[in-house]
Amino acid sequence: MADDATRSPLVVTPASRLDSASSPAFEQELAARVAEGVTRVVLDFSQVAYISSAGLRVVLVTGKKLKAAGGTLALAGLKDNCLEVFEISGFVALFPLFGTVEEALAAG
Amino acid sequence: MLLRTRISLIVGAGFALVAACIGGTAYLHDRVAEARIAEIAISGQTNLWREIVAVRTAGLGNIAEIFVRVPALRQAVARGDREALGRIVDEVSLGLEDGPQAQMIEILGPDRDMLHIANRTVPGMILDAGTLDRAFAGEEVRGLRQAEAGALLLVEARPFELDNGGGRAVLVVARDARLALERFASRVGGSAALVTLRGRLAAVTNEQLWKAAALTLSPRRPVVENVEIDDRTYSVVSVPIRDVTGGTVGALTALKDATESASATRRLRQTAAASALLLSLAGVLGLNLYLWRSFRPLEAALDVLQGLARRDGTAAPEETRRDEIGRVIDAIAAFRSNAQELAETRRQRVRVRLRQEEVIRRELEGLADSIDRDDRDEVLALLGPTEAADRTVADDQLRRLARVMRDLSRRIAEQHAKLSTMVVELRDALVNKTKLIGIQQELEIARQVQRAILPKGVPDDARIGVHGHMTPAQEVGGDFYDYFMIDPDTLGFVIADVSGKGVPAALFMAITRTLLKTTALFERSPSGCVRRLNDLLAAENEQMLFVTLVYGILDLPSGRVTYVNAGHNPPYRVGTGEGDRVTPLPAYGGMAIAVVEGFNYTEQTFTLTPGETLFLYTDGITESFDIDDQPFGNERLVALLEAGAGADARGLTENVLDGVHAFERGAPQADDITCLALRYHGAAAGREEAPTNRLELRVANRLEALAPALEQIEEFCAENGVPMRAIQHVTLALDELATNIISYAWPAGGDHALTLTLTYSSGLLVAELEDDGVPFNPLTLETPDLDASVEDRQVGGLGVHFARTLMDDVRYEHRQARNHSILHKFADKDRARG
Repeated sequence: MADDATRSPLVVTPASRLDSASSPAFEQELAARVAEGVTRVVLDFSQVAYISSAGLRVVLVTGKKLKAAGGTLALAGLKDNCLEVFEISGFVALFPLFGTVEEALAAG
Repeated sequence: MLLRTRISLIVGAGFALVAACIGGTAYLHDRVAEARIAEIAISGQTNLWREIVAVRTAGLGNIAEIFVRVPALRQAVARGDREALGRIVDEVSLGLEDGPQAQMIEILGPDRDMLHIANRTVPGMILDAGTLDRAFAGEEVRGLRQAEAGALLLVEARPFELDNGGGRAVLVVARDARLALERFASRVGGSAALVTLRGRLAAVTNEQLWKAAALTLSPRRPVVENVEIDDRTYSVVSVPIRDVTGGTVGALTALKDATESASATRRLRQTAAASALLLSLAGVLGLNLYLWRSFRPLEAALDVLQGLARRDGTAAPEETRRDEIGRVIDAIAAFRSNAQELAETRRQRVRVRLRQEEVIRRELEGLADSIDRDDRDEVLALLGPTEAADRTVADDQLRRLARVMRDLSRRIAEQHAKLSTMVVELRDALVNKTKLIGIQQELEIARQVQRAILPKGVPDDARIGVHGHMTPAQEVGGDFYDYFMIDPDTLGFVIADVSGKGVPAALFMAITRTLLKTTALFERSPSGCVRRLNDLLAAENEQMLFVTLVYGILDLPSGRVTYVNAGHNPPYRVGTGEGDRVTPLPAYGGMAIAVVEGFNYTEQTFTLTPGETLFLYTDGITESFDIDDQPFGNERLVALLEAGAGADARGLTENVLDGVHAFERGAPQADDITCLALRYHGAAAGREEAPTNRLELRVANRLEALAPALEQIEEFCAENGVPMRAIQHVTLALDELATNIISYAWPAGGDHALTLTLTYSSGLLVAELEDDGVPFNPLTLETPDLDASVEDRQVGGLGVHFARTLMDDVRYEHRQARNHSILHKFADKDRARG
C-alpha cells in the first residue's frame, strides 16, 4: 500500500508459547500480513511465557522480510526469561526492544 | 678642596689681576693726565701772569707816554731843571687816572743822573745798571723788577729823546706788583702769592690761608700739587717768574680751592673700586653657584658610582642632561645597569646553584632512602643539617655533596652487588613461588571440590532434620561427613576423620567417602558396609593412613539407629528439650578403618524418640585449644549441647561451633572441625508422600508431543525445589535438543520414541535424552555468528547454542546403537548468580 509508511505499525500479539509446535502457524500468520504489504510490525511479547529457537526463527525470518521491504520490526514487553533467550541468541542487537507496545508505537 | 672652589678661586684671582691691571693703567693714565694738566696749569698760569704783567706794564707805558709827551718835561730834563721837573711831574701826576701816588717815577737824564724821583718806596734805584743800559740804548723795557729783597715791582723804562739833540733820557714808572698779583688772584679765582727765591713772601692776597698752608716750595721749578688745609683740598700751582733782566726772581704760587672736584674724583674712584670688587665677588659667587649646579648631577652620579663600588646599587642617577656631565651620567647609568645586571645574574646564579644543590641534596636524600637504614643514617649525617641557613659556605656545600655522592655511590654499588645476589636468589624463589601459587591454586580448587562433594541440600523428608559442617584446618581437610537416602525410609549418615591433614588426608577422604557411599547403597548392614570398606582401604594402604568413623542408618518410620563406631569419638544423644540429658553412645565398635584387613565390626542399635538429636563430631572440636593451650574438652561440648538441645539440627551445630570459636579466642585452628546433627522428628512428621527425585518419560516423535512432556518436567523440578530459572533453562535446553531429534533422527519417518530421564540430587539436575535414530552429535554444530546483522543472520543453529550456554555441562555419547545427550545443571549455582 502506498500510504503504509504513514500508518501506525501493525501490532501482533503471539500466544503464550512460541515453540517448535506452535511457531509454524505464527510464521504463516506473519507471512500473510507481510504479503498483504505490511512493512512495520510491533510484536507484543507481553503474553509470551516461553520461546524457543523455533520462535526466534520466525522473528528473524519476519525481520529479514520486513527489512528487505524497507520496513521495521520492533519487539515489546518481553518477560525476563524471553529477554534472556534474546540475549543469549544475540537478537537484542538485531531488533529494537521496548518495555511496552505503547513505547514501541510512540517511537514510531 | 673641591674643583668648584678651586675654579672659583682661580677666576677670583683672575678678576683681581685684571682689576689690578686696569687700576694700574688708570693710575698711570691719571698720572700722565695730571702731568699734562699740571703743564697746562703751569703754562696757563705763566701766560696769565705774563699777560697781566704785560697789561699792567702797558698801562705803565701809557703813563710814561703821557709824561714824555709833555714838552716842558722834556725841556726841564734837557736843562736839568729838577725843580721844574718836579713841578711838571707833580702836575702831570695829578692828571693821572690812579692819582699821583699810584706809581713811582724816576727820571734819569742823558747822563744817567737822577733828575727826579717820585713816590719811590724802595731804598735804591728801581732799575739795575744793565737794564738802564738797555733803556738808554733806546729799548723800552717792561717787566718785573725785584728792587730789593721782598719788594717786587712792575716797571716801565721809557727812553725818550730830548729836543734838539739834547740826548736821550729815560723815564722809569713802577708800581708795586701787588696789584698785578691781586688781579691774577681774581682771574684764577683763588689766592695767590709771590715768593722770592729765598722764600720770602713778597706779596700775598690771603695771608691767613697762606700761613695755614705753610708751603715749602722750590721757587725755581714749576710745581703743581694738592694740599689739605682744614679738611679742604687746595690745588697749588707754583711757577717761577722772571724779572726784566731775564733772571728768575721768585715764584708765583696760586692756591685754589679744589675740594669739590677732588672729592668728586675720590668718590668716583671709590665707587669704581667698590663696583669692581662687588662685580668680582658677584662673578665668583655666580660662577661658584653655576658650577655647583652643574656639578650636582655629577656628584649624584659619583655617589651612584661610589655606591656601586660598595656594591650598593640602590642609588639611581638623575635624569639625563645634554652635556658632558649628561654623558658621564649616561655612562654611569649604563654602567650601573650593567653592574646591576651583573649582580642580578650573579644572584641568580647563586640562587640557581643553591637550588641545584637543594635538588641534588634532596635527590641524594631520596637516594639514601633507598639504601639500608644504617647506611642511610650515615649518609644523612654526612649530608649535614637540612636548613639552608646553616649552609653558609656554598663551596663547602658542593664539596660536601660531592663527598656524599661518592660515599653514596659506593654504598649503592655495594648494595647493588648484594641486591644482584638477592635477585638471583629471588628469581629462584619466584620460580618456586610460582610453583607454589600453582599448587595453592590447585589446593583451592581441591578445597572447592571437597566442599562440593559434601552434601548441601537437606533430605526432603519431614521426619528428619540434618545439618552438617566442616571447617578444614588447611585448604583441604581429612574430615568429612555425609548423609544420603538409601531408600525412601532409610537415611545413611557418616562422620569420619582421616589421620593426618592436608592433601594426602583429603585424597584418602575422597576415596573413603566414595567407597562408603557406593558400598552403602547396596550393603544395608552398617557393619557389613564398614567391613567391606575396611577391606578395600586396607588392601592397598601404602601410606598407612587410617580413618576413624561412625557410620549408621536411620530407619525413619521407627527412629531406630543402627551404627558402627570404627575408633571414632562417640556421638552424643541430645534430649528433646533444653537442659535435657546429653549422653554419649557406647564407644566400641571396632578399630579404625584401613588398619587391618578383614576386621569384623560390631553393630549397635538404639532408637531415637521424636525430638531427639544425634550429634556426631570429630576430635577437632574437643581438641581445639585456646590461646593458653587449654583443650576444649568434652565437658564444654556437653554443656553446649545441653544448652542447645531445644534447637533444630542447624541451631544445635551453630551453637557448638560458636562456642568453640569463642573458646579459641583467636588461637589458630589445629585440626579440621567437623560435626553433624540429625534431629528425628518422628514418623508422624513424614506422613505426606515423599517426592520422587527421578523422572523418566517416553516422548513420541511428534513435535506436538513435546510440550506436554516439558510441562511434566517443569512440574517434577518444581516439586524437587529446583529454582525457577534453572527450570526454565533446563526446559529450553531439552526442548531444543528434543526438537532436533524429532525433526532429524528418523529421516524415514515412522513411529518412534525418545526417552527423557531427569534426576535431581544435591542441587545437581541431570537430564538425559536417548534415541535410536541416526547417530548424530549435536555438539558438532557450530555456534552461529551472534553479531551478524539481520540480513546476514543464519536462521538455524541456535538450539544447540542455547543448550551449551544454559547448561553447566553437555555431553554426547553414542553407545549400544543409541544417541545419548547428557545435560548437567547445578541449580544452586544459578540461584547464586540470579
